[in-house]
Amino acid sequence: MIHSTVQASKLLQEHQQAVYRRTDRTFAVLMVVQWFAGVVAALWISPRAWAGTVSSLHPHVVAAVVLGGAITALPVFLAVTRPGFALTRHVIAISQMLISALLIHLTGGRIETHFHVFGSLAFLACYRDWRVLVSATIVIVLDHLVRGLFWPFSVYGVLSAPVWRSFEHGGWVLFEDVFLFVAIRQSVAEMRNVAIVSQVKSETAAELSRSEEALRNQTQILESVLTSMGDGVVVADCAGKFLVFNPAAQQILQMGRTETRPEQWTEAYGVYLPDTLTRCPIDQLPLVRAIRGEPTDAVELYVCPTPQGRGDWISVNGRPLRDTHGALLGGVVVFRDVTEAKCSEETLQKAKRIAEAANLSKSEFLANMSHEIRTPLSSILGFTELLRRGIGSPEQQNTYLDTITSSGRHLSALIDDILDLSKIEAGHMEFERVPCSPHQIITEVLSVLRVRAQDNSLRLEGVWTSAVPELIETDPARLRQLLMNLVGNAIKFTERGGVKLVASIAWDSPEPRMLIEVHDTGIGIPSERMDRIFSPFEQADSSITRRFGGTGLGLAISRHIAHGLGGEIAVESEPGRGSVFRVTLRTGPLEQTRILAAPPSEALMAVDSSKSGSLVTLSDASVLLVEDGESNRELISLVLQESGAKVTCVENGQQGLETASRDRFDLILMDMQMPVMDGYTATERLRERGCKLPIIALTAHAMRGDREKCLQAGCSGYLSKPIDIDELLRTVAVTLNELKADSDGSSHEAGKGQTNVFASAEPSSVITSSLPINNLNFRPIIEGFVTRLHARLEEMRTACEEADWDTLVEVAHWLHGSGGTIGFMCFTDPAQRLGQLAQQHNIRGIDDVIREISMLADRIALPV
Amino acid sequence: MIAYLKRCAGCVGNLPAQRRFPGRLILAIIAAWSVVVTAGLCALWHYSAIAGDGGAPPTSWPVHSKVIRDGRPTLLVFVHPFCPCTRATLAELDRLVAVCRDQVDIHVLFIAPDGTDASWLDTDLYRVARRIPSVGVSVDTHRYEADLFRMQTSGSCLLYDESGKLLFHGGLTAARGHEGDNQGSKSIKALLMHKDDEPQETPVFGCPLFETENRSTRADHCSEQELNS
Repeated sequence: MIHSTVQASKLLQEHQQAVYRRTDRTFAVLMVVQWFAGVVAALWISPRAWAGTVSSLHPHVVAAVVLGGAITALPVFLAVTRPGFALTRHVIAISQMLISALLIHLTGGRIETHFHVFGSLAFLACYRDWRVLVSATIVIVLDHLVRGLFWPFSVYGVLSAPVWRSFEHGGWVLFEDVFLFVAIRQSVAEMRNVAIVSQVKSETAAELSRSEEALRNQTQILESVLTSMGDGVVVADCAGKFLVFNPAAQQILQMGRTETRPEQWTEAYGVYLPDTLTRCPIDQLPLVRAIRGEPTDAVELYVCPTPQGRGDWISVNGRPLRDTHGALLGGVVVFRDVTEAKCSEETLQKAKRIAEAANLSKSEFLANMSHEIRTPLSSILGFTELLRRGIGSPEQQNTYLDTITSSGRHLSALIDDILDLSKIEAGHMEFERVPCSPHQIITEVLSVLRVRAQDNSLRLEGVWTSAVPELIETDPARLRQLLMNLVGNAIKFTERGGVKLVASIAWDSPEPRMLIEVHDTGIGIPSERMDRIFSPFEQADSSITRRFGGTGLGLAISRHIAHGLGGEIAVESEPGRGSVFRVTLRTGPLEQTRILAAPPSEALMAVDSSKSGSLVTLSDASVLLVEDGESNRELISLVLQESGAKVTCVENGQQGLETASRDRFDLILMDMQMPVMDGYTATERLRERGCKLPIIALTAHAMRGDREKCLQAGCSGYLSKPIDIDELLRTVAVTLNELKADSDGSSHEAGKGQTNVFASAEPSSVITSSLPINNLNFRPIIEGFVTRLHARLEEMRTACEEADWDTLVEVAHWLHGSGGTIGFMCFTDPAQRLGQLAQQHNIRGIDDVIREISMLADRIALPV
Repeated sequence: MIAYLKRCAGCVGNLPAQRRFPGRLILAIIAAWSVVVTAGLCALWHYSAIAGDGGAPPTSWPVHSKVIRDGRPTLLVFVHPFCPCTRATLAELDRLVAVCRDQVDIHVLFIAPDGTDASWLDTDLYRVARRIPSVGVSVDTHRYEADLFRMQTSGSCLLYDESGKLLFHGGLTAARGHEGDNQGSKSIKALLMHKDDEPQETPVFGCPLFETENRSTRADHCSEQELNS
């Protein structure tokens, strides 16, 4: 307030100053004009003074020019040089009165000219400074006083005039002064009011300007926020006219510049209810509800502005807009594109459903597994119990043994499938690409499964419908497994008719592909189950498992194998008429391989269970056996010697290294896990010394990685423990090029499936070695193993009590390798579990396993 | 007010202005200006207060005068047709006529010196005199009447009563060429209203009717008796 008053006073002063200056300039002009007017009047009225006929310039003219000029000069000068100064306007006031006196005089004292005085006073009032009137009045009074004193007749027309006459004249002037004074006061008061109003206006304008600036800034900020935010914002007034909408809203709703009425919004912007089919009713639109004063939160809607466009899911919040008095102004909605979240949610829901289905499948699978495992297990246990009790004739007992063997193999296959599935799920299934004969693999598969097909009275045949490449690059073991699954399935699910394998090479693409079709005339697959049969734990029907058996894993494994071999697997089926499984495989480049017009003779290719060690002769072959296990050492050396080979045995890698350096051998059999120096180191050293001999690795770790590790160390071949004697002899023979049959395609591979061939066939209460115990040469070996086994059992128990894990691992390794080799496969599994438990330091499990091994050891019957 | 006077004295305005000249110099200029202007005005007023030669008119109406009297008091006004000061005299005469037209026979005599022609009288003053009602305007050629009444200054007035006795002589203005209240008009009015019977005399403010070297030709040579005989 004080500041405003001061500012108003300042404004008033400025205004007054402007008035002073303007009036100064006006008077400057006026006085010059008056001067000229005086001169003109003098020239007009009394141009010359006469004496008879003689005349001269009249003194009034001189006075008008000189005196008038003198009177005019100073005020004009001050008005020009010092406008606005108080002194200037007072000088002007005085001069104006003097001009009046001069003009009155020049005009002969005319009454009319006296009005110049009053006019001048009024004009001086333009200064709106009453003090100027004082100066002018003083001049008038002085004029009358002086002239009344010295030239009274010039003023009053008499020679002696009283003083009051002067005051009378001055009184009339003062009379006018009073009115002018009042007018000036009022004018100044009005100016003051105007100044105050101006100041208020100025302050208001400044405040308004600041407010506008703040408003502009806020608007700018709001615009930036609206523009940058990802959520759509739409503001509409009560009539439904859009006041604000940001780019995100434009993008989501594809809003144009065309105005739309609220009743058109649903259609214009394609707003649907969450069922995505029903248009959202107008009165349910969040913006309409907001305009009506109803807030909404998280309303989920589906918007699809264009029929052919992709729709979006939005979550909308709406709020009514009200002024400070609560009156409704309109509504605002903020909506967010939740399509991605919605999709994620749906994906999660789908994944959850799949997971639940998978869980259910696993539960069913476990139930099936339980059934699958318990069924052969029951057979094994039951028939074993029968054998233990000596029930049945010898022929019947042989049948029991066959059943037990069959059940064991089934269990083995089941475990293999589970392991494969485990690898698939862990992403650890590995594939190699090596040259192999596709026809040989097909032939092997057909040979293996032919017996089963014959048992089911089915035809099993294989044909090539194109030229046959001698070799392709693929993983032969996995291909064999794939075909075994497909053909085995076909046989399993076919009750009548037959199974046909059709192979061909497709040359129509840059890289040739092998096409294998497995046709059957089985039960077929319902179309609604087609997409599930390749999923793990799925079969066409749960009843299938009960009817046909199987784990439900075969096709899942097959599909993964097909992918791993660079191909695909597909199926066509008609329920009740049969199915066709089509597999495509990468063959690798075939430019360098021989293409046969027809497949080679099956007789030559056949490699089946008829293979026998009796066919192998190792005449005069010199073999170095490096093996720390005494039983294995004795057994292997005996087997090789029986086949005509000369065998030199050493107990560890160091001795093997020395012996191989000293003597000459044709082949080395190298155990990979040995004390002093293991087989890996020994092999590497031998290769470093330039040894070119074939070295066959013997290892109890039948995992694929071990094979690569052995080959990397320099081994030429690989045999897994327990040692298959036939495989041993064949491998050695092939390596020495003395095997008569051409079987190098599988010479170095000891499939795990074959390991289970050694199913125990001992009587129910007695365990005997699977070695040819009739051969007297084998007996000492078996006896030595049994003796050593009991000693090792004591060692196990002691180590278990002392928690000597290393000893336990070592004993387990010995038992795993030697037991199977000596013909006691029953120790293989417990020995393997013992080793794993020892490595895990699981004492409780170890107790059970040692107890199991002890029971098995007690049941061993030595040959008589 | 004191502060205001100080500001005025210090030549300081209400707001700062261009001070091209120092305050003291301005004051000095103002002082000098005041002196000059005052002196000029005083000189002008002094000039206005310088009366002309009132002459020595005959106390009785000269018998040789050619002015015809109508039995009322007669007022003669001698006018130089170019005298600017006489304009005020005619204005006062006009006012006098308005008041006393019935009591006095007024004659305005315009001097026409020798050697002048008709254009001598073609003046604004002559026309003003002719517009005054009840006033006889005549031309005094060859200075006849002026000499007869011994008049020297334009604006000189003579009032004779019915018997030819001089009642008043002088001017009708208070200063040179200055209208307004004056002693001459007041005296004439008083004499005509018989409020005053004593002869009156006032100064005359106007131009000389004649050149200086021709002023007292016949008047100086004619005695009172000659004029009345």
